[in-house]
Amino acid sequence: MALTGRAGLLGLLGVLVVAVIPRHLLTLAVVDGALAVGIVVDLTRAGRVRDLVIQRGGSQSTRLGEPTTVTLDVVNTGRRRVRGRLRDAWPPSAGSRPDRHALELPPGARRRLETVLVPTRRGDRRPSAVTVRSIGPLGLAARQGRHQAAWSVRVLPPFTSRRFLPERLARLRLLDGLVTANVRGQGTEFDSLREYVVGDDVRSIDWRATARRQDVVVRTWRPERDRRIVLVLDTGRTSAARVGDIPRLDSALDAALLLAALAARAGDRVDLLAVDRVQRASVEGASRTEVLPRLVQAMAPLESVLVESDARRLVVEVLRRARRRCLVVLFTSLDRAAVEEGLLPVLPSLTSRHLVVLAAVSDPRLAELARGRGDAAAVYDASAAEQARAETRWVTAELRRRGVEVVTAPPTEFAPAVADAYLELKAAGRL
Amino acid sequence: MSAPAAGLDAQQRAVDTLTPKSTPKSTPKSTPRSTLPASPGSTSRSTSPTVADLWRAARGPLAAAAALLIVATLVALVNSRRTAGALDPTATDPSGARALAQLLRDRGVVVDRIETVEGGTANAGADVTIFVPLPDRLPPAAYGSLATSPGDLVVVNPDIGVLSVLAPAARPDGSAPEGARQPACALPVAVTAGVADVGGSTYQPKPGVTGAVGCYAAGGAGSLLAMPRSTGGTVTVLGSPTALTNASLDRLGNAALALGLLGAKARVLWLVPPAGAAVAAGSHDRTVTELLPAWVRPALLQLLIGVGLIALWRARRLGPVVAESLPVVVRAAEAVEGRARLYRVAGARDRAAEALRSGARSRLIDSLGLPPDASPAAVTEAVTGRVRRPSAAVDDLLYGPPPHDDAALVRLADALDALDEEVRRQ
Repeated sequence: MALTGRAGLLGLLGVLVVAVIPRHLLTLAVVDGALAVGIVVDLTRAGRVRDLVIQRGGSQSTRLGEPTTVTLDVVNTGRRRVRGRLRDAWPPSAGSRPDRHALELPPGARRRLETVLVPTRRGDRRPSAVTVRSIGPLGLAARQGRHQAAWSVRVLPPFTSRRFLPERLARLRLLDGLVTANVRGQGTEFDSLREYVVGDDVRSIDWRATARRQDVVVRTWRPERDRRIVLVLDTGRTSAARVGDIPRLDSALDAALLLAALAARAGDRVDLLAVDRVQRASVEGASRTEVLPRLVQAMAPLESVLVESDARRLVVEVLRRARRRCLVVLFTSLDRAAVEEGLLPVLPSLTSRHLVVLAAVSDPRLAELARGRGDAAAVYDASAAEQARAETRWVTAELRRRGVEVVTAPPTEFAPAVADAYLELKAAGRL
Repeated sequence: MSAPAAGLDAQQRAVDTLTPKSTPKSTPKSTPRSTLPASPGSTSRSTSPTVADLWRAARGPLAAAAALLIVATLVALVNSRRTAGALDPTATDPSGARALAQLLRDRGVVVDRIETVEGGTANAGADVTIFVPLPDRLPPAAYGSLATSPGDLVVVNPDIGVLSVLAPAARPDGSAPEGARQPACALPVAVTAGVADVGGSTYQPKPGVTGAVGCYAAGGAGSLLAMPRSTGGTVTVLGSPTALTNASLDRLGNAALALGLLGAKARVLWLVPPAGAAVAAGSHDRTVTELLPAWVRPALLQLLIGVGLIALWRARRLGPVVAESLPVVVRAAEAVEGRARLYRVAGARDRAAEALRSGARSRLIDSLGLPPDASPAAVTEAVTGRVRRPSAAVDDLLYGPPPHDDAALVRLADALDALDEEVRRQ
């Protein structure tokens, strides 16, 4: 049950009545007795919340920051009118507006209530209970009850780096020879034979074929297709750190999506693995058209876990799913302790069979600190930043020495930098 | 992704089939499903407790509360015979005097417990002992009627105000420690009792008073003073109640003394005013509450009720607070900033300078095109080849000793910047 403001107001007005009318105690008893009777009448005459049937509907997924609408269909199966308020409670990060609705339902009636969600966090958002306050005919008291109506809205990663895709696709088409003539050096896979035109590299003339025909024939090459790319996301403690207010993990997801979109267009197969101490997400063998939706679905509920990642586990998982040589893109950080203790000892088993790219977001704040001059505090900041950069340099050198490609960029340029690294590898025929 | 229209149609059908009394559970599950996974069932289930649920949840605690109440009532009933109260003829606690009252009754003395003077002394006659164990509890108005009532009077530990009315011939003298004491006087009661626990306040007859006997003196004044009254009979003032209490009655000559004092007449009027009687009847100043108009109290009560209703209105939430586990917020540069502060607090100029120098060296090595593991001499030589500076100065700047204070560290950072800039420009 619940009281209304009207009950409280009448209680306060009762003060005047009691003060003015003689035989004050009797008046007080009459006033409060009447109020109590009114409240009891309201409680018994209010429509039953239990008799409502609530059904959810509407959207089940949206991108982070994009509004989406979920609905509540409320049916009154009781014999009395339900008048009052309804609260559809969602977690704060679901950004539900409005979360309170006015409700006016005659017996048997059905209403649809719409709530707009503007999620502020990635992942699955589930509503809490639906609470209904059904006010009695006198407006003094209300019945209140709750309904559980399960629903789930998956908030997908925003994929803000989509805007870099057209330019990268153009460069990919350039590589593919769809726009310009195939020239040797862009790919190693034999494509076809065609007649020599002025300007072709004489080294690509196929003399055997030329001898068979009466014309000079050149071989054409195209970049490799059907290569496998394994995107590995480290969801351990280092991925929780925020660089420019974006967690490393979210930057990595964005970059992974851009790379996957590009690779799918380039005809490569993309797998995903998210791992810290255990495997958190996995996408394997998705076809080119469905790889992006599947990746997005798999990535949506990923969250950083505050544990040290198990590099051995990571390597084992990658080796288990990739028998043929493939490109392994490792999204992690260049944290010296984590890399030195975790990754470096187990890296050889990975680099011996696969091409490994390590992509890490660099922190622009370090450069900002390193420029600090003028007073002692700023110079100490600068020296600590220099120290951190020296460690990063050391880690980068160690990784490169072991044959790992290292890509680092600040968060704003991270996704295109990773995509460019992929395009360069493809252009160089190293996949 | 919106709910497909088919799902909504099914939902409408589900609603149509609902009879008014059917429960939510009987609704067919017609969830509008999209192609996405994890589509939960969307028909509601009421989670508010029903009356039956409430009863089921509450009956355990209610039973416990009822059992507690029953036990408490039984204990109270058993204990109701034992009343407490200093020198009360019905009190059985150590400071009470039920034992004494019982002894008196055994000797054929009528013991009447009265609470007000008006209620008992008026038509008592002269063959009576009025016992006033707690004179300060009496309203001052009662002293007058006590003073004029006939019979014997026994007063325990009176102060000067009480004394001046009830025993005007006596005056307080001081106090003596309580303890077993010889009577050391000729008063028959005291002589019969012998050694008894007396002490407390001591009293003396005023100069010129005859017939007063002081007993149990601890040097000078006595703790028991008996003297004749103007209305006939005697008034006895006792300095402490110890000898009369349940706790001490069986010690030494206490019982004999008490019986001698109270059992002389056929009847004892035992005056035990309730606590607070003196204040209630005594102060004739009207308090603030009495001065208020009659409507104020009911209006205040009503105000309380009104505010209570408003509090209930505001306090009832529309459903519980929704909890959400939040992500960790750690800035990546936090460790670096922490290390900088540690350097500063520890005054680690050597490490700070080395970090700055190695950063500058690696930038120089980059811009001069040297191998990453170039020796100090090679770096110095390459730098002096570019800039017009003495080799010793460059060597000191890049590989010199750590600065001796923070100002020197700041200067070192600026000097490294300047060198780097100069090399770049050349």
